[in-house]
Amino acid sequence: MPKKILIVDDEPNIVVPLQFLMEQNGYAVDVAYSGEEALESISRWRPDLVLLDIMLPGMDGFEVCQIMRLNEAWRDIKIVFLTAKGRDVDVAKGMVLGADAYIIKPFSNTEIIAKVRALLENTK
Amino acid sequence: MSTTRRFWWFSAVALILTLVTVGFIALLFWHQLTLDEKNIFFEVVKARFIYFFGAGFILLLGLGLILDGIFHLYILPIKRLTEEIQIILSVNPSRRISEEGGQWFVEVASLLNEWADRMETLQHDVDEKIGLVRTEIEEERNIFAAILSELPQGVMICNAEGQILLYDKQTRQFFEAEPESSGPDLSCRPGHFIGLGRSIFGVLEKNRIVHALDEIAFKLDRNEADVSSRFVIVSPAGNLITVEVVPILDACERICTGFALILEDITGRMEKEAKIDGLFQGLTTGIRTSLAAIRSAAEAMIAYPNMEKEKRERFQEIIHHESLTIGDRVNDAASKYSSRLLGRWPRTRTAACDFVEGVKRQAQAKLGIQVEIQGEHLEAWIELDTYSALLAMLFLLHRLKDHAFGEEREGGSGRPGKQQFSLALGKEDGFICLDIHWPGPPVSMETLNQWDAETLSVNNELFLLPLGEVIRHHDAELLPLPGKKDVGIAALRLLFPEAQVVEGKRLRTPLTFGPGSRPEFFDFDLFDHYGQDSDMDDRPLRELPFTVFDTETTGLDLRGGDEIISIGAVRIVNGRLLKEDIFDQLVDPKRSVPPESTRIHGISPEMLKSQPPIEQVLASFHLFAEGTVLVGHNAAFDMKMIQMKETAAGVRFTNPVLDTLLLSAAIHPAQENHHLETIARRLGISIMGRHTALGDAIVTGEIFLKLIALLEQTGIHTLKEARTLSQKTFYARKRY
Repeated sequence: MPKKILIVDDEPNIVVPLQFLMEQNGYAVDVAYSGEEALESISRWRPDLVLLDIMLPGMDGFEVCQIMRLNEAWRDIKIVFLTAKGRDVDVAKGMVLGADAYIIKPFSNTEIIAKVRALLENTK
Repeated sequence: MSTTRRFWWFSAVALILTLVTVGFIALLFWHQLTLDEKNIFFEVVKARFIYFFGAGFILLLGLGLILDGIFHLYILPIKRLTEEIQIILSVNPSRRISEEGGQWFVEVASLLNEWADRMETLQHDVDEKIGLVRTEIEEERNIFAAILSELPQGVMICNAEGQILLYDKQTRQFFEAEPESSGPDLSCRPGHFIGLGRSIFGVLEKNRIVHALDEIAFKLDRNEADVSSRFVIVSPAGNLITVEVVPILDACERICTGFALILEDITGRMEKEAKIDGLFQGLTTGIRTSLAAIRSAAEAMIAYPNMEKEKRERFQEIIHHESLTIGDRVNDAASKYSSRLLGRWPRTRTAACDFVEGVKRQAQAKLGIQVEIQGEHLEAWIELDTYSALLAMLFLLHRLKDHAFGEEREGGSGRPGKQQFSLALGKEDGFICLDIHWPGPPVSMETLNQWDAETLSVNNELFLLPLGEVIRHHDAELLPLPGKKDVGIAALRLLFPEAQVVEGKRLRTPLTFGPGSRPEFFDFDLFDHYGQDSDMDDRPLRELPFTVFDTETTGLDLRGGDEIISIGAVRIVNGRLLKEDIFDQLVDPKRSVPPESTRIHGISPEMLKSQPPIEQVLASFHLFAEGTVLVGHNAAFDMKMIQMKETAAGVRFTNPVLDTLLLSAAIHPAQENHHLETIARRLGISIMGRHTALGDAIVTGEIFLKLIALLEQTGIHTLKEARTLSQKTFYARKRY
């Protein structure tokens, strides 16, 4: 059974290539365009990893992350922040909130696949 | 009047003694007479009684008249003489003794007057010499004060007790600037009075200062290089202000004798920085997002060359679209950045027409070039560093002249009438165009570029930057225009961005200095005044801070519902009347104002409509007068008025009160009239603006300062002594 990845980003132009990339690497992919959609997908579909943008309409990525970490059932879902906010404080904040990795846009496809693979393999 | 009484007592006693003596002698005489003689005497007296009675009556009457004459001609004048000499000696050397009274007295008085004349002349000469020296010192102080008051930073100096010794206009503006929403008048905002001798803690939270001073003491202890302490406050107007506290140390021991506060409004800077920061953050974030999409799509296309056509087209579309987005974002940021945020050079908003006029004048004066201004008057503003901009224009004209007419002149066939430039102003797309036309060959782009790189110099004036740099600093552009080749007219254009209206810009008022105009912003003599909280009673009057005040009312009936309609006050600190430290407030009396009273004080009911009520004004005045002695003319009346409103205002005036009327009466009991005008005239004070509360308060203040000098002559120095004296006078006046 393939591992499941949820991509959360309000920017379709990023979602499209990311989804393609993940599918080509044999993952099952779901997409959410807002924080609320993301939570809905997590509870319905329960992904193994979430690629989470920070700046989202409505509820932002930090908030989604916090809610996920407060929920015992979702503890072991990996969270990778994927964001254009490149300031050091933002990285620190993401890590404190319980993210597993923080990738700053623009990223290389190899980098992101490597990171996703590493995180998902660790769980085995 | 005690003099009169004493005199009549004396007269009565003398009379009685005389009568007793005469009676005794008569009794002796009577005893020595024989019976017959007594009878004869009786007969004679009985028959000629009228002569005896007449002689006795005339004797008494004559005696009385003589006494009265002596009293009025000599004794009273001499008593008055003493008082008048005291006035001449202490406060008003121009006053002369009135030469009324007995002949001898008049002689003495006229001699004394002559002496006073000489004294005055002498004094005048000395004063003049002192004045000359003092003027020089004053001038320097004035320049210092004027410059200080125009510094962009606020400066405040306090002694160790937190008493303000110096402040400048800026500081006052920081603390007194009013948010638009609150009351109609400045002075009605409790907590924000700044003034000499006032406590700094009225305007700055005490804990902040104490904390800063603790920090400084700690740093001093450890001999640190930087001993200042900084914090940020929010002013009443909502501006962010940084406060730097710098200790003032005693030269010998490293003891803090006071501190200086340097205040700077950083609102504008912070806003600007925040804008730049926001712009930068927005730009990087936006570009990162777009780049992420592009990179991801591109890498996917490289990694999977065999992807389906549809997918590939979608990816190509993403790459194209996102690269366009990046372009837009960069353009947007660039335009916002340059136009709004860069005011690198201090530039002045200048009317374009004025600038052109200036160019015309200077070109004529410095280069002998005729410039004609064409076109209509244009109402437009540009931001210029006027000096360099003018120099740039002159430089251009100079070069153009050589370029256009130089050869002709060398060839000796110069036609001065034709050597004329014309300037025209216009507006295009938000830019102000300054066009230079001249009859002659056009300037090539190459020549323009050459000029661009040349250092600005016109005759002897040099500006150490090339023309191009100066133009760029004005965000301007220089370009050749097509001109009218057919008639041999060439043209150049300078494009200036039109100045936007900037709101809330600090307006600069002119520096003024001259005799008497020294801003009352500093008084370092206060440095030595310690313990302002100690009991004021035993302190010398000279050292005490006073609030001299006056009120205007709807009438004089205290209990009948007359109300205060105006309070005016001025402070005296360290023997100086601070005309900048005033309280001037109209009050809504919540009742009608009788027209008779309007005739006196000139305050009409309309003027009072939007004014605050007495409760609010009184609370504010309470704060204004805090820690000072209240002084008023006939203060009892004003104090009664005020006291009736204390409860409503929620304050109590516990300040000591002095009354200039009572003090004047105590010092000059022989003068009958103690009206404000009369006293002022007596003491040589010119009156202006009477019958406004503030005007009267100022006159009263000036009188009070002179009275202090007079009191000192009679041996009264402290507040307690002055209060005792006025109390005595109060009862004395009540009784008679």
